[in-house]
Amino acid sequence: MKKLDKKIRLLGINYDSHIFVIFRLILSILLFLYLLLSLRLGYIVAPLMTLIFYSLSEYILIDLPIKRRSVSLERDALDYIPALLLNLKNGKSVKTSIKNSSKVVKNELSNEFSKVINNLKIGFSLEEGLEDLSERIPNLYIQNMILDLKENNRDGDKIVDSLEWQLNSLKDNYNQEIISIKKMMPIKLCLLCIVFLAVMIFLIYYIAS
Amino acid sequence: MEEFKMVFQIIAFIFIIILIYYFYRYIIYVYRAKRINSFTIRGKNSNGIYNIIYKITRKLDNTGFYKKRNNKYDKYLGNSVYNNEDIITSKIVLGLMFGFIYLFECSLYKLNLNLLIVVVMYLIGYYLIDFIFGINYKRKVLYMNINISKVMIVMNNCYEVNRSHKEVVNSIINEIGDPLKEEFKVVRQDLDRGLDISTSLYRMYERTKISKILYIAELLGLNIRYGISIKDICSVLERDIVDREKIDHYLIRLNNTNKLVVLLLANIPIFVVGLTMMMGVEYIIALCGKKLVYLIIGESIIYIVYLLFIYSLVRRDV
Repeated sequence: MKKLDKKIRLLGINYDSHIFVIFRLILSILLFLYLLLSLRLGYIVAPLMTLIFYSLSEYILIDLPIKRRSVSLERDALDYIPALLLNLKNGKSVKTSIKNSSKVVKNELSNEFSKVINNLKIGFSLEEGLEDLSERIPNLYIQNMILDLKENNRDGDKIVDSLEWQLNSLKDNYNQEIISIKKMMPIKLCLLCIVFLAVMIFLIYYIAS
Repeated sequence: MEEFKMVFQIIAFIFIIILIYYFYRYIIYVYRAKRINSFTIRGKNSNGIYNIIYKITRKLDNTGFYKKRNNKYDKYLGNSVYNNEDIITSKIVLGLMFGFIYLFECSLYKLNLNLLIVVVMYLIGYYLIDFIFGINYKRKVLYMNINISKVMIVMNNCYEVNRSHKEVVNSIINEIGDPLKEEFKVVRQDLDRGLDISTSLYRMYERTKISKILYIAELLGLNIRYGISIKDICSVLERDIVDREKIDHYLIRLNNTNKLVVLLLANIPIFVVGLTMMMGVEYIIALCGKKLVYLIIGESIIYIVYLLFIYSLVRRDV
């Protein structure tokens, strides 16, 4: 349950994991009963399909959106982190630079950072706020940057150079990801072609019979 | 004669498309003529089709018809003298023309009049201009997307010698070629009306949806709101935008290499299915009977969905 809670927090929402678990259990029991009673080979198909449904539901509803969010946050970081760096280079503190850059840049990552500033108003320290933020963000590179900010806030070391390195590695990673998606395109097209060809031939067979 | 009916219809269809193309060119020519109308002796009422459109526009404008319409075509028209109202009138006229084409064909071939087809033809005519404008604008935006580094180079050099925002925009307009020049003329208009450079660039982003422009607008906002050094911002911007353009060019090259594969794979299903149906036409007619129409409609719908899937994969994001 704790693992699920952590995963749901990575999606950037604050739902209780109990609701998801109970719904998944009820739906899988219903599916099991339906397949068992309706099909002739239900005693083989029903447990298999229920297991597949049980394992795939978590993957489709939680793991895939986390991956998508990670990529989109990476894209946002390319806009947000340079603004943060410019503030830090011009001699602003970590808190002020987060505040300034999340007011200027408007995207999902800046919303997440502005939640840190909101937490400060409630009574959190900056370190606690950043720790809370790193639990909400699935991307490894951005988590490293937040760790960097946290360490700087505690010890006051030089941050700009190390943040720039992190940003460069993030850029490289993002570019490679885009290029790999484009390079996968012909394979995806071939698969699409086969699937649609099969559907079209099946339609001829269905109407002719 | 019955055997050639299909061929005649195809020829008529091609003829109509050519007619529409020339009509579209004629309208553009007439609109350009309108620009110099005030300096000519003949006056405003000397042009044929535009004269009709202009009269209809004026009459509809008096009734308050255009008050509800938005400024949707402003971004297509840019800095030119065309009006939103003229475009909407020509849309209506084109829609009516398409409807009349169907009625003409009905009378020619003694077909039964179908009200649904009249409505569909009207809608095709009505949205044709949107379609043409949309494609042209998309092409323009794709061109602009891979040429923003020029803007950044000019901007960086101007800010290095401590010029103001207006001077920077003016020098961009003087230095750079057309699609970007037109957009920056609109930016200059915004600056003249009292907006700051960040907001006016954000408005440009809203028109073009180019993410690099948004990035420039956001970082320049840091200078305007919090006084961060503009020289630092510009050097960061120039480096980043050149990097992003490098990736864009690489992706375009990848897309070009994949073009042949895409063309081949897009045509394979229709080729294979068409071949199987053409090889034994009598066999398939005997098998399907009256269901042949449903077969053709079903196959074409599946093929369109397939093409849409391919488009979503191949599409270039800005």
